[in-house]
Amino acid sequence: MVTPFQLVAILFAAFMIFITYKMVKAKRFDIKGALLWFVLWGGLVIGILFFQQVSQFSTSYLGIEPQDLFIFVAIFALFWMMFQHNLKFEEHQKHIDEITTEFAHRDAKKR
Amino acid sequence: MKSIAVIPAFNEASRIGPVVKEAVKQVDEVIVVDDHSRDNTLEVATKNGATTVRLVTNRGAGFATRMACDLAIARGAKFLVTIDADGQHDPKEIPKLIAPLKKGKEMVFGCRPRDKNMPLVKRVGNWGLTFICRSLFGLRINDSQSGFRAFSAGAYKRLRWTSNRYGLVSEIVANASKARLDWAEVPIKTIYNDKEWGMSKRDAVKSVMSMLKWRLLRW
Repeated sequence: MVTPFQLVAILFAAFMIFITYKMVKAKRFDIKGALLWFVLWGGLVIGILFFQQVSQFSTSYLGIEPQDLFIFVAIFALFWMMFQHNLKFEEHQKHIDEITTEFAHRDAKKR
Repeated sequence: MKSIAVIPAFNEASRIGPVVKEAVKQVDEVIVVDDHSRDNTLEVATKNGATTVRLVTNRGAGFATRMACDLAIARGAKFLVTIDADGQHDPKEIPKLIAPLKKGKEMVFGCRPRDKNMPLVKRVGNWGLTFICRSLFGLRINDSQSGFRAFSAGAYKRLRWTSNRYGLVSEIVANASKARLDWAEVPIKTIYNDKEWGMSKRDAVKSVMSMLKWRLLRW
């Protein structure tokens, strides 16, 4: 039986999956970027719906409590996203440098 | 032998005029790169005789200085002198920096005496940063933070830094050490007419972090 809290969490995750799908359709997200979110939100739904099975799996095979498993997965996902964002940021900074240099050379030629 | 003074500038309309006016008398050309100032720095510099370029967005002192040096090389400079736009350096001392280059040195560091003209806080900070710089890079300079420097066009290729902001000061020292440049040091005036001039404490911390970074990258 699903508790009210679990129901709210599942509905929220389902809502976020729907939003992610809409963003992909509106081309604001590419499918690669969206996949991570589908996996995360989908994983949350599965984890909540099949909590007993996840619990058994994490204690028997991983040797950790299910809540610790959720925390570790969340932290790994956060760190991975931060790393990706950092890479993108550096890429954009380099691109801005290139554009600024190009414009500066054009400005210098005029003077 | 063409010598060009390069001046990166950001919001220095009130101070850059006299700097450029004097600098044009000391070198063949002055190039000012306006780092997207919000005032009329560009117009003041142009009016006083500099060749000016405006960046379409603010990228930092390191970027602006590198841009200016690249332009100077493209315009045939044999000797380059970097000088601050805020009047901390006296352009009349430019010949003092260029003289060792003409005698065959590759790089010249301007060295400010840590005397009463330098506020105490700045003196301590400068000593500390210079000590760290000397320890990390083995270059026995006495003022690692002065932006008043000169180098030959050939040396610039080996000095060319990647830092866009204040990290360039340390990166130049790191690169000069790595390239084993034949360097010299000349005494220059200490000018601190405004307590806001010079490096802030936050910039000093960032400078140390960038020195450590460049030391690690050299390994």
